[in-house]
Amino acid sequence: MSAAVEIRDLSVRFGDYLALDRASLSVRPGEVVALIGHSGCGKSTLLNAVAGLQAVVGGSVASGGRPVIGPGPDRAMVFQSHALLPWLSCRDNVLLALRPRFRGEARVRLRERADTALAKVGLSAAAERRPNEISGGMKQRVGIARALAIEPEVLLLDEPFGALDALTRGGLQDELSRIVEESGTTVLLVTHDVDEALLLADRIALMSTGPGARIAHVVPVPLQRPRDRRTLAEQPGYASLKHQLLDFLFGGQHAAA
Amino acid sequence: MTRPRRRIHLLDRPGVGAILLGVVLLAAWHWATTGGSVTEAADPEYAALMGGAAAQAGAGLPSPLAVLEKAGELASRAFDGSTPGNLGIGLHLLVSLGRVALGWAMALAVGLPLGFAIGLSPRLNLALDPYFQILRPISPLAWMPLALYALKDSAAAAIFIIFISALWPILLNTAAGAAGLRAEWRNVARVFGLSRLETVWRVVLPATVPMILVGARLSIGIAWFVIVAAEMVGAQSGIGYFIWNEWNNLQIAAMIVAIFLIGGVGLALDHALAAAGRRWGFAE
Repeated sequence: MSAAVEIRDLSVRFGDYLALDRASLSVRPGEVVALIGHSGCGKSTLLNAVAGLQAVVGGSVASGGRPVIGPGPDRAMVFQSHALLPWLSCRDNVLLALRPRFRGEARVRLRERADTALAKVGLSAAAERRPNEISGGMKQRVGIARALAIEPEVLLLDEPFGALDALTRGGLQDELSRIVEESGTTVLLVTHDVDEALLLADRIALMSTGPGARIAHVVPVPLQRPRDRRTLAEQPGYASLKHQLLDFLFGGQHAAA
Repeated sequence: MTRPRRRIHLLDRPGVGAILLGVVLLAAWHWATTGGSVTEAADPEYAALMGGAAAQAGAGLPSPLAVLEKAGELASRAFDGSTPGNLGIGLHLLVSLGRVALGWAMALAVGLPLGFAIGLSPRLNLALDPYFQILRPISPLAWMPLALYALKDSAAAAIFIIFISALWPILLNTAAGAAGLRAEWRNVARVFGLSRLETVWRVVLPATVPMILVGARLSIGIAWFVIVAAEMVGAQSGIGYFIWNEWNNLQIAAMIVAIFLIGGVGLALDHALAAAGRRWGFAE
């Protein structure tokens, strides 16, 4: 079976600054891979390259076996800053993404799709409301609904819960993990939150810090599913796994602290 | 335990200070114009300019009561158009507003599409920007003689002046708004595969609306400034002509009434455009 996402020797340069230096990562269909690393290490750059938003100077990205040359309907993105259009209602924000994806479909059918997507994230009641009338967590859910609505093969999430408070974040992580398990979508998730990665991911890709960042390790997460944040820490292997990740991120200082 | 009583100072209440100041200024005006202060003799040059009118008795500034009386008199025949050479002040005002509306609408018709095109096309911007840079600082009134010569009609020339003065704020704000589309919104359009046309129509245009409204508000303010001056040169109607005509007749009280009226109308225009901004802009 071919990989859902195949990143091979990818290099990205911003002027004189080499952000990514031959980064490689393979994501299997239906798999959730978390990309973790310090801020500014190039995680988002890598994700943008997969989305087709980022010009690269070397290497290649393929999605579903097809080379990525730009954005495409097989890949949908959930942005860190929700990126909803403030003059559109939640439903219209979802419709904006649906129209180009399902060209020629009747307006009624598109509306059904939008409402189904909003229902999936529990926002049916907020369909008519504008982004400034809903909470930060709800905005991010609309962002997820917008991405899911186009039925992508790969869902790309760029620190989707980074700007939310801890309680809201927890609720959304649970919801995302349920949705992903139901839909079987392949997920590439950028995060700097070790607990988020352990809760959601099948494998965790650790990025070294730039310049010239690359994927340093890929760590499998053999924890049972469905995962429950309350009992996750009691699963065998959790502690050593978390220790290993923190060691990587904080250079072993964590053990001494 | 007693809580300290919170006292709100009288001058912290909205309007109180402004009303008090107004009363003081009116009183000062009244005292200065009627309080026995002797009017200085007009200097000869001024008298010559006035054709001797300044030498008439009572050539000093009118008192507030006199202005008020004049305002009542002007209001009573504000829309009287029976004597062609002596139209009511309301009709002059409507003529000016009509010219501003026409010139401003033309500026919108040209400025919006052109500003949009410039904002979306860096090449077009590079080609046109040097011309804008040199045209923009020209006082609109500098065009007046040329406009009169070319258009051979004072009303048309005034409308052209309004067009020229209203064009730049609309054009440049629209261009800046369209060019400064937020990267995240641009990325949304790209990721979800919106066509070029869809991106412009559904993302860039609505995103630019607040900047367009800023340009529209700035430009109507400038247009209202400029129309008065433009009508003083050559026009046979309009509020600017009215002031100049009253000046020639040394009707100082009527001039002052017209000055206050111009202020009031300008304020109303600004508020109308601000309301449009709240209505059609978007909150984040």
